[in-house]
Amino acid sequence: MSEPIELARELGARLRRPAAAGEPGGCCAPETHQLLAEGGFYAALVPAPEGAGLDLRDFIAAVAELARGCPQSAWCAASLAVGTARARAQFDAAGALRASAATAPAASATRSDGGWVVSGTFARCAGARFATHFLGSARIDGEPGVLRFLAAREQFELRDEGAGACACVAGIELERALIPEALASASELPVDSWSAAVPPAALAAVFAGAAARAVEIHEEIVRAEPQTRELDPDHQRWLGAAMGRAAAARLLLREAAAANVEGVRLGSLARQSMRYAWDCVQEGLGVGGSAERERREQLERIARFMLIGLSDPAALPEEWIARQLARERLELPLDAAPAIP
Amino acid sequence: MAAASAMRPVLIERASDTEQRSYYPQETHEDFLAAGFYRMFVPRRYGGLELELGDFLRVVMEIAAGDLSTAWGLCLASAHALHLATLFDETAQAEAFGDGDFRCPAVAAPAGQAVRAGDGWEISGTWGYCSGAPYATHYMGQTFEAPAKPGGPPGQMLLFVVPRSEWTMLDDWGDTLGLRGSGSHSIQMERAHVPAHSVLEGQWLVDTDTTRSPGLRLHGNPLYAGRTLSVFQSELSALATGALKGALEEYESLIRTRRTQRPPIVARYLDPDYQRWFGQAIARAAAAETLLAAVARQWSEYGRRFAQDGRVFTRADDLELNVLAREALTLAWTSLQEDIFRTAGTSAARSGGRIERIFRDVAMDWGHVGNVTRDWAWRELARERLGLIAGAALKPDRPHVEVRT
Repeated sequence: MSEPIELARELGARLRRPAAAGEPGGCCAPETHQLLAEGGFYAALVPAPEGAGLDLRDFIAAVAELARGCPQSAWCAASLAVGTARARAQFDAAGALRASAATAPAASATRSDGGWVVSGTFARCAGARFATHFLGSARIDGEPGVLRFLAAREQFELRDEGAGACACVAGIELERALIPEALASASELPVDSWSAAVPPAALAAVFAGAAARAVEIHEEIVRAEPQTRELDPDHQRWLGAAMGRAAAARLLLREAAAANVEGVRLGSLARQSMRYAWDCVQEGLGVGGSAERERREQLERIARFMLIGLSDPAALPEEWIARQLARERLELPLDAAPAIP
Repeated sequence: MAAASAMRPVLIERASDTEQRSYYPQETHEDFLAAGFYRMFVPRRYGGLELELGDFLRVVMEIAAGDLSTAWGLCLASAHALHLATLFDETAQAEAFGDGDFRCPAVAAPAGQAVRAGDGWEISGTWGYCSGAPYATHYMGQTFEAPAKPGGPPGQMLLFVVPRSEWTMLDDWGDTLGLRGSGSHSIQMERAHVPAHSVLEGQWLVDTDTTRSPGLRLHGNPLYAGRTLSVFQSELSALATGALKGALEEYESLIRTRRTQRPPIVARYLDPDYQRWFGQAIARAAAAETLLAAVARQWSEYGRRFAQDGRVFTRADDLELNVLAREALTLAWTSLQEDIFRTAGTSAARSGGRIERIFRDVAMDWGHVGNVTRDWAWRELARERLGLIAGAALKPDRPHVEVRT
């Protein structure tokens, strides 16, 4: 087993302790980031020898392990790993690179001598505070299509996302950043095959891991003394349904990765996997009552993460995905409109 | 798979005739014989193919995309070779499989009764819903041993396999909402003699502990070391998923040829709503198919692990896979009624139309006892996790009451 997977398992177990989120080295803390960086997690998808060279199936398993401890930490780490691999592959970038990434074209780009001038603000970029680079996309002034670009850390500012945002999440603002031609790529389609597949799969892996943790908490509530929930047929059914949905989220995603499903088809399966994970958590939200306040709060934290994640641009809207699948089968050109959640 | 795909046009063409007859025609039966479809789970030593579960399900899906009634009859006549090869001893297998020509409906619900007679049993009764009966060579069923005293409780449960010469098929199928052509007729036996080796005492198909079954030892293939509950549900779900794929074909043809009912009036396939509905159905069909592939892969893996290192394929494993497989059926039915039937228009609901038939057929699958047990399966899965199952094999005549105190 490779180092990133072992590291994810170890960190996931450490973050799973109820109080861990508030401790040094807890949820999205600099210490957690440091461990992930030193363990090579951010280069998990980068081909060896520069990176761990995990295939998507193993990467998904590692992300899910981390998410069982803390979904937000896992999403930040997965985002950086995905952004880093994409930046290296697309722009042949090398060195100590960690790229935060955004799918939606929230900036505008203008041609300039030797490159492009890019301005705009990207909200809620996971892992932004630990990133050395930013991989984004922008609308091209006066032209169809979008520009994908890689900006270095000195070319963007971080914007505070306010109360409630995770410690590593930040807005990224570019003000007339000059992007050299070698670090930019124009495309007619706002979402290419890779963007339609890998970021959604990574987010779905976080959901699957979070769902597995939700089942554990749900089970603790059902077992809690002095109640007799475990002998109650409704509680048994709710827990069983949650277990089934968590397993569906995990296995659907794993099978899709194992079968090398690509493009928007993988994005679609990732969306269905996320739906199962969300259904799983909802089964647990109805149980416990006020006597189980602490465990319920853990479930609510998972649910809150998922609510935000369901509209994350990385996952792409379900309707947009469905339409692309139809257009692919009908042999129509793919939708040139950006996927905006 | 290629043979199954090639059959689709003719299966569509024969679907109406199949419904009227209440089972598929002789020509289709001969096509299935020639393609080896009845031998998919028959062991190699008897001339079979020993297909992996995932491959079996893919063939079933492909046939179901042509006609669900036909696929239902084929699937439920050919699947039970797996259980004969797993659970019964060598003598029973050699006798029943012979040269591999084995087609066998099976019903898990017990009926009738059995009395000991000579070196075996005499079994009498009527078993309903024996899908695949018209071309069957055998029947696999469940019954109880007769009460020890008149009026007393029934004795142990028995699982038996019996050749066609010992039973008659009743002409009582075809008046249901759907699956009218599935050949799910009743089978009747009057004092049928069944040798002891063809009867398993205390065995119920729904809950099979295969750790001591002879299949793996006899055939050396972990295919014959697996439990049954998840396989049954996978079959029902693969059938519905295949039918959804057939509906997708028809829906595509419909939206390519019809126009929208409101402005802008354009070909439906160019309209964003129709694209979304069609795409959602494609997505759900793909998810259902992927889930079934995952279930089959995991089921095979459990068998392999038992064969290699003795890790037991547990009841909890079987329940989890059963629950997962059912999600595929849920996706297929949801898509059929929400994405396809709701938006296809009234003309697609006319009697004899392909979408109308698929809707009726999958509705029957949705209401099948395998799906009715969804909530029970969730509950049992939770009870396994909570440690509330005492370990006794589940019996239909004895509800689980062994809870931890």
